[in-house]
Amino acid sequence: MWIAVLGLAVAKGLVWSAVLPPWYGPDEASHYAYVQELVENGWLPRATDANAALYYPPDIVCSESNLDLTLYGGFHAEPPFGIPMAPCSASSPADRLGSRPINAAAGYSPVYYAAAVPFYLLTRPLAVEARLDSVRLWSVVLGVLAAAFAYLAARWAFPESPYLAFSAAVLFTVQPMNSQQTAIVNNDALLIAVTAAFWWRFFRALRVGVSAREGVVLGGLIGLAYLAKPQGLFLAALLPVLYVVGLPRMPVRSEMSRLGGLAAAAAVPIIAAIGIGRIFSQVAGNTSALIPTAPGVHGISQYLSVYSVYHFERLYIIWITSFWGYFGWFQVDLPSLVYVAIALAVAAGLAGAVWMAARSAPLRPVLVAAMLAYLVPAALIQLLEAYTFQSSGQLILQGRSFLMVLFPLLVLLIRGWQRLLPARASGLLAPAVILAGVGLNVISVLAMVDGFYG
Amino acid sequence: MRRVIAWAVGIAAMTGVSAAMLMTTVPGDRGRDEINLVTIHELPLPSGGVLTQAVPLQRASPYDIRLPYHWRGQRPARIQVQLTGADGVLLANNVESLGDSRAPLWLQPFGDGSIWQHERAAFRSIRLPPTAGGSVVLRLTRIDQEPGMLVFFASDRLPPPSGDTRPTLVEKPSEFLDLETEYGTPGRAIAKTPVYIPRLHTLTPPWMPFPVPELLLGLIAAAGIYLFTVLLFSPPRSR
Repeated sequence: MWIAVLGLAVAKGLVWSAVLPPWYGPDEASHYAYVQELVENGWLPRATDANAALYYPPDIVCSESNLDLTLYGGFHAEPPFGIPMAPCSASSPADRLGSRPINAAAGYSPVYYAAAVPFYLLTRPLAVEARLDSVRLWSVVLGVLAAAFAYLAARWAFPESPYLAFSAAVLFTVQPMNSQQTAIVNNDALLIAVTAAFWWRFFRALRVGVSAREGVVLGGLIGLAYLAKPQGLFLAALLPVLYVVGLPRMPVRSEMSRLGGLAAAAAVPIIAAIGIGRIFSQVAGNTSALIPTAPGVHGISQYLSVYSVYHFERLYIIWITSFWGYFGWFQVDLPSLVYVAIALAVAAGLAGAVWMAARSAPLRPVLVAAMLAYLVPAALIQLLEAYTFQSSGQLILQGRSFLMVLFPLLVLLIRGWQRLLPARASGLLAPAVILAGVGLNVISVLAMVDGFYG
Repeated sequence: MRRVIAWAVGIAAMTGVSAAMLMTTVPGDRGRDEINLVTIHELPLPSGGVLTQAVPLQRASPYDIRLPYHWRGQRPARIQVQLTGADGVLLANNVESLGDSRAPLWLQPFGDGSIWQHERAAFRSIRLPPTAGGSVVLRLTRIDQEPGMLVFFASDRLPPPSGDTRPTLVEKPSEFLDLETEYGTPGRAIAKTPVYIPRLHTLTPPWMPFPVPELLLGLIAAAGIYLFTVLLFSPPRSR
């Protein structure tokens, strides 16, 4: 079964990386410029700037321009098929060099980008679009790794049912936004892969307990997730959940000793990762990854109203539309009825999961842990946006910002659907999940083909 | 027999969702880069108001102009639509009724959280003569006396050095009316396959020549059907 998951992940990753036009992944030029400037300029980006694209290598800017993505307002563009445009050409060696080490992705450590360098070097003599495609393969590899880890995680989350585990891994793999972010140049791909590994160890620890060695592994994964993208640090909030749910209680003296050992084991790699991140920031001269403060009235009540206006539309955008499928720079959406079907399925699954947690004592600890695994990081990400909004007035989240909690969400949904189905129909769940997931992926690809090439 | 039925169900489901996409009516071709969602905003048109916008046609065989609007009146708003060719010849002069643009939230044509959704906007198609070329001038005059505001949408023309040269509204020289042009005859998406595939392959990586992506997509769909059938007949203890 794991071969089927990996095969699906490879095929899906290659298709998605081919169908998404160059630079049409969100922020893709910034992430790619990071890699190219590491190689060609030999520098780390030092600061972020709203106009960072002004300093990117001319071959990137030229290629974007040829695809109608300009420095000004890329959110409406489509590849300019069929209309005459003056193509630009930038192919001299100097065109590969950035003019200043400023990049919109400067706040991120170079872990994802440095590991992408071999992929860049493989196609270094080729045109910039081919180099971009090559670096995209690094994200595809991370997508395949994420699928493998999701399969391992699912075996622990559904220990009684290999086929439900398999269906969870397949649904994770073919989830459309997950598919996009693991097919473009973006550090989300590393975060997705590392968090998938974290969920494997998390659900395993719920069953077999947490040793000091496991604490080091979990801490290491959290540290790596932090280096992929700072929000990865929020996974650390789940360590107390593991401790409470995953370990039997001991006498107080032994308990304190064990707790201290586990905390130290997990904390060392996390602190080390934070230290490494700080060193990179110092070397690069970065000050803060946070958006600078700005004057204006943007408090918590304004923040809440942003979410409540237009029939809670922003909630819908974050948790349904752009979490499940809104592609490119928000150029390609799915048919409205697909979103409605997803919203209903998610609502039913979550309701069923709560019902199952209330009624099924044997499954309750794992279900509660899965709920916390989903809710706690999601709430912290949301709080980060609230904080950013309060200081700068800017909203920073999209649905894809929450892909790190996709796996526990799928565990809850599949358990919830399992609870809602009559017992005699339970055998239908795994095949139905697979068929629906793959169908959704195919629909998404067809929607992109029409949106980008129609 | 049960396996045959299971295979049939799997194939029918995958074919059904694919067919729903492939049988959708799509324009022959779309104009590109016509709406700037970064600066889009409402543009109310009161009774008697006029909007005049030059519309550069991007290709031959124009089909229509799709005009987004928002109207919540009890009775339709009415606009006089005049189209003038580049040479000043009147190409069309019609009165269009614009009905309530609201649809139930779950049945909206746009479920994507875009401005079209939260404005609960609708698009009105204004047919173009297929012989029109170059640039046409669209003149909208609101001729009803209904209470309530008929709203169109406009974007700001970008300042230099953006290279934004699109024509602006005569009545608002720093803005342009948001609209979309379409070309050719609308048809089923599947009939556009000969358009999609060559365009796709102008941008695919060198290691994904035709028909590799197409075969891989078919393989993904086939894998979905195969796994569905295999799991359906799995031993009960595995489920």
